[in-house]
Amino acid sequence: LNIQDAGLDEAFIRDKHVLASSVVVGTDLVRIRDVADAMCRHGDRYLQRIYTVLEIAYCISAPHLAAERFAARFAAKEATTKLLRMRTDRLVWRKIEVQRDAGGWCDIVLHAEVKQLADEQGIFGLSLSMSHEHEYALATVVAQRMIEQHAGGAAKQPFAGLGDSKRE
Amino acid sequence: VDQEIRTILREHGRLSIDIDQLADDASLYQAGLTSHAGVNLMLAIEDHFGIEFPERMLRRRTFETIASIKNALAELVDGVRTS
Repeated sequence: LNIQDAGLDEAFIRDKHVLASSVVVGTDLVRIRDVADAMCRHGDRYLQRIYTVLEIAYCISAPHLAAERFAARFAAKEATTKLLRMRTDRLVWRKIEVQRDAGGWCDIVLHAEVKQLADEQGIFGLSLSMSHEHEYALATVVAQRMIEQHAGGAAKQPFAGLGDSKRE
Repeated sequence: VDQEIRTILREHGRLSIDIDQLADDASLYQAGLTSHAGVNLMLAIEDHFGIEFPERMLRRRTFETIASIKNALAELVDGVRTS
């Protein structure tokens, strides 16, 4: 492309910010027995400390699957905190919610300061996958992170280096 | 209190090392405390001492070491001294 022929100003092109995105991911594994033990030992106090009203309502709707469902949701919350590389060490379990639609597909919904943190980091398009079987529940969350980039220049990741991306 | 915390850790922490050998300022997360075991630890401490950790204390660093747990308890339980 000849810039002049295209009627574009070279300086404008050079200085123009181009938006790109990178993929970020978080994953977590939870032993279902640990969740079942917590439910048995601490009951509602455990559930209400960690899970939202919607999550509790869905999980206990099938009592024989409740521990598996709660374990998968706990894994989803932890996977999300890893994805966000959370700068604070606040324990924000109820600010990260798994919402399930009528078709059974689940999404991550962020609330309050966790939503604000994601927005500040330019993170959008969160997508959740959960699975559980006899012993373990697993959740993986992927999202895109906006990268501000000068045309022809190096990508600028304003929120890079906030945490340990290899955190386990 | 130190021994009570260690007893609770032994029962709920599922740590991969000998708790008696754990220094007061050693990281429990580095010793193998998982995020969910951390929840169980928090709730067990609340049960044992008859307290509830307030929102401002719900941080990873509150449960990072035996010393940090003891410091939190010092604010919430009469007769517990800080480390």
